[in-house]
Amino acid sequence: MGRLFWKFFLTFWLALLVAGIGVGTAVWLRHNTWQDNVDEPPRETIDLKHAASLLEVAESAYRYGGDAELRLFLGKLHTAHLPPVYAVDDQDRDILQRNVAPEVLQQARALFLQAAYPEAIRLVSSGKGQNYLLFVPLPEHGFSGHPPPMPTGNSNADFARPPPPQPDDHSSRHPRPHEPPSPLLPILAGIFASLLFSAALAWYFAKPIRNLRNAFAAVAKGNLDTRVGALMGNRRDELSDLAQDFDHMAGKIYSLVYAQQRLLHDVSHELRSPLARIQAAIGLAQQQPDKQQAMLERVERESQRMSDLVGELLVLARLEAGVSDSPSHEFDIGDLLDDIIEDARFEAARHEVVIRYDGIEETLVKGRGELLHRAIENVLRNALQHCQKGGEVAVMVSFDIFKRRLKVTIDDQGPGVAENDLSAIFEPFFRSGDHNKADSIGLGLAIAYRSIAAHGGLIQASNRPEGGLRIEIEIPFVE
Amino acid sequence: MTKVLIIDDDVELAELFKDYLEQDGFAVDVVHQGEAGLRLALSGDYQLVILDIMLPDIKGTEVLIRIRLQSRIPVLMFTARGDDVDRIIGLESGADDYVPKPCTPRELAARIRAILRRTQPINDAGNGPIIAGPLKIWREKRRASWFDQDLELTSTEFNLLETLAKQFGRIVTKNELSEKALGRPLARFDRSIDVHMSSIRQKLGCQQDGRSYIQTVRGHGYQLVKE
Repeated sequence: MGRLFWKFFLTFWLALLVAGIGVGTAVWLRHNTWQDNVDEPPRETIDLKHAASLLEVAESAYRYGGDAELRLFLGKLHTAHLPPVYAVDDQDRDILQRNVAPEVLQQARALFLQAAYPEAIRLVSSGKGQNYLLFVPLPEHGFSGHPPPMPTGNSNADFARPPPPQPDDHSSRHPRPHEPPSPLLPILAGIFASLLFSAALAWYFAKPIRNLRNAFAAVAKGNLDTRVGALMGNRRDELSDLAQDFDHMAGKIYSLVYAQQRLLHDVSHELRSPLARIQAAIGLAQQQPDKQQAMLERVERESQRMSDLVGELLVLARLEAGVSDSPSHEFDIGDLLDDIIEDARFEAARHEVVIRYDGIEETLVKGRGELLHRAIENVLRNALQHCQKGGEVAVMVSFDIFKRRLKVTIDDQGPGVAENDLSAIFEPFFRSGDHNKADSIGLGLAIAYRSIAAHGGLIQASNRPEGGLRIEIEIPFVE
Repeated sequence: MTKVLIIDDDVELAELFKDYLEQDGFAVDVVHQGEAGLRLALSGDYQLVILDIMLPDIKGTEVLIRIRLQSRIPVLMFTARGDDVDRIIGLESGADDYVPKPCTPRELAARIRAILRRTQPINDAGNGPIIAGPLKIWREKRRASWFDQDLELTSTEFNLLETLAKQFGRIVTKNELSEKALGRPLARFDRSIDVHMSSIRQKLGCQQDGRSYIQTVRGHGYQLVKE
């Protein structure tokens, strides 16, 4: 159990206790005043005189009305809030079939024999030999463990007191009906219930937080596939939302770290190939001095290749980090395309490929020209590399004035790409079927993709129905 | 002249190695595809195969496994430097040794010679087989039998077992095993011997009490147990 659990637990418990005590006190005070207002006047009448008058009425009722009248009167007493008058015959049966505790009855008979309270205990008999012992079992009449309040001339003060009535004898008319029950039991029950409730509540809050904490610790240790959503069960609240957010975050970190690791792996592999060739060339130069010149050229070429690779990687890293050193400025998109195509013609000639480009009129757009230049150039060079000999690479430009978007389409006449790989070609070091290692570094399209993304645009590849790959670049522009 | 086959998709690198090795006295053929390489390796024209782990069509380890199904021709594996997984997979698949890439051609040539030296049959007929318990080794035929059953061993495994059998019942250090069986001193953190040893253990099976016939002596080396 963590600290949070105990904080929740103790706070709620304390709150419950305070509330319980407060409510209890209020109820008790109110009860007391109510007793003062309502209970006290009758309590004053429940004295010997009152009991005596009750008994007198009962006796006369019996004498003149018999069993039926007595039963009626006692029944009325029973329903009214008056002290009960019992009428027990010789067979210890109450006339109203009420249960009379044997001790009480025993006490009554003993007191009657002693003639201790003649007003409260008396024997009535009809002429037919039917006797009833009438008595009012109140403490004032010597029925409880308390001493009689008024020794009414009774010399026999130290009579053997019967044991107090059983406290659990609820079915019988309790001898002390107006004494409040012991407060210990409800207090204990209250404390226990509040403990239970507080613990449950504290657990309900602390458990998901503990799960989350463990998950964070696991991620910090490097277990990036940790998920907590399942541990939340059917819970739907802020904590389960938090767990979902955590899972989302862990998934994102996992994919980022995985991508970085793969990139690192690919980079080391890509650097290894030129290095292996350099080492082989050096070995060969040592073995065959006549080949030194050729080997040196090879070493130069390979080191140039490594240098290019490192340069491109830095560009990619900068783009991924979102660092933009080229601010937005106004430039002519027509000029930009002319530049790119002019540069590419030399390479096109080497690949024996023709570039078809009709040119566009001067169009000023606002944006990050350098990024756009790099992206279009990389896509175009990729098209040149994969275009078949004697083929044609077409560059087309269109504007969507309403959406304020510029679209550059570059088609080649190469083998195209497998449908599954159409999005994968924009990942670093992706290589399609043909192994043209010497020519491409494998970062061109990845850089193009990130450049366009940094420009707020979209780049996508599709296979043309007539064969070859089409890459479309769409970017927003400001006129 | 010893004929060597290089299976590597890096065209330029393979040509450089071919040039170097030819000058060094080998006859070298180069092939850039796994399938074609597999066919040539199984043709029986070559004494040794140099196999790159990264190939365009099928993986180098796959080629190796398929070579091992039919042939015990010595195979030297090109692995990426620093990639232990590749190396161990290669050795487990039955490669005789590995060379981390990038490597100098001189190192490559030395490895090739080491493998060839220990796989060439030795002309000491007449001495009879080496006998170590249930193991019999005929060095001149490069044949071994275990409880009179022929053992299928790669050349490196054969050399390791031979080294252990010559010192039957005694502990042989890993360094000695590396020098005698692989032809090079033991490098730090080099697990090649352990990988080969585990492969031999599988082929020998277990004793009746479940223990292996080859015991590892922690920190020292290995021992072929004498009953």
